[in-house]
Amino acid sequence: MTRLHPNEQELMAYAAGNLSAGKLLCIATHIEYCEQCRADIKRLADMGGSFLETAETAPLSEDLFERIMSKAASLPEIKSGDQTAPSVAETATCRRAAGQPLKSLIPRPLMKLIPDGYDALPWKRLGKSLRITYLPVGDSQYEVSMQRIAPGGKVFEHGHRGEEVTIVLKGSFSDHEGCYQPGDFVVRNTEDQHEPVASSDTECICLSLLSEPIRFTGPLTRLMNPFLQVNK
Amino acid sequence: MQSDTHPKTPADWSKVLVKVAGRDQQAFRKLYDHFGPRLKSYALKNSAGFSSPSQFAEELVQEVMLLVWNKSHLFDSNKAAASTWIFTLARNKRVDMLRKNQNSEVSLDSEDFFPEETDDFDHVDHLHARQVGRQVREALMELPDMQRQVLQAVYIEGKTQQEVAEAFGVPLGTVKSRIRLAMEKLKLLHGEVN
Repeated sequence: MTRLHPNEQELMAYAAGNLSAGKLLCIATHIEYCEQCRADIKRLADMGGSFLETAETAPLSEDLFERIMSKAASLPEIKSGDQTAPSVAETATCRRAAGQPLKSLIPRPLMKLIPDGYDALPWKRLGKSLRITYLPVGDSQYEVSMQRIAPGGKVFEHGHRGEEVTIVLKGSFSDHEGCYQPGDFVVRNTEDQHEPVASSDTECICLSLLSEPIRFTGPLTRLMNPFLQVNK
Repeated sequence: MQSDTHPKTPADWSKVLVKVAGRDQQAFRKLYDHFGPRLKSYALKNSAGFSSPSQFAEELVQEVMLLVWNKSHLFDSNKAAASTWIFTLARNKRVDMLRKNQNSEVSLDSEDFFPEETDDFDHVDHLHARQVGRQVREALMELPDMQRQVLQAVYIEGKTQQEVAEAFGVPLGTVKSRIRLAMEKLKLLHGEVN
């Protein structure tokens, strides 16, 4: 069966910061759309706080407090918010505060990677209706990429050697198991083969995480496999 | 004098943190004395990827306490307990230090991975947020020791379930069921949170 959310272990590892960059990014993106997982993450943060509260203690160097205070004194006073990447962060927050539907925006976790919108990314065409681009996330375990399927377009039947997570960002796609909407966290495992089709009225843009390259399994499309190498 | 009473409850620590925002050095010292050694033990337990755990641990304490000092005006006691706020600062800092350590060429950091905390949602139900925080704390306290220990090993120490099974000398299935039971009690199994 297809899961549409990260499972509780993945959420726990996310909330604890115990995942590699690619997975952190994918779960963060899903959470932008999913109120239920957001609520879970809040609970898990409270759990972290409780664990910290009841943690054992480890002795600190005697001069550590003085070092912290002298460093604090040398830092400029911060008045409000953070100064890192103000333009990007501010736009996202403002647009969201204005009550615009989240679906029309680039999710906040991806804004640094997609600063000028989806169109500006270096898409590579793979067949008539599929384009793909890799995102430089800096993850040695997983490849993070984006797919863009034309309205009604088909992604040829393919199988997976490893784990594949797909998050719909825009539009929708379907396969033999169901239809997936923005925010859905679609998990595929080794045995699965599927042939996703974008909905006919609008293009579909997805974020995906792959532990090993996809294999096209159709007789002709198999020739494209070398183009899909995970490039680390 | 007020500051002679030692803070005990989460609400007490929130008050101390609010004083820190008012640049009260004595309150900051109190917070440091309490959370510093706990942050260090958290860091020592989750130091995979750092060549010198003790150096990393003290650096994390230093960086987190500096953030506490500099960002305490952003703390909203209506939204979260002081310990939750400090925990998320520590988690984010650890993720950033780890990435810096791995020389990641991309500028992604904890603000991208955990954007929620930097945001101000006006529609957040504060009363609800505090109730949830209390429920989670109480549920955690009431867990049987074995369940809590396993949960802590996964969450705080970043161990895989397999590693936890080996560390505790129990079968993997036992670890899995303990985590499931614990998460059920914490209302963290999907479909049960509302």
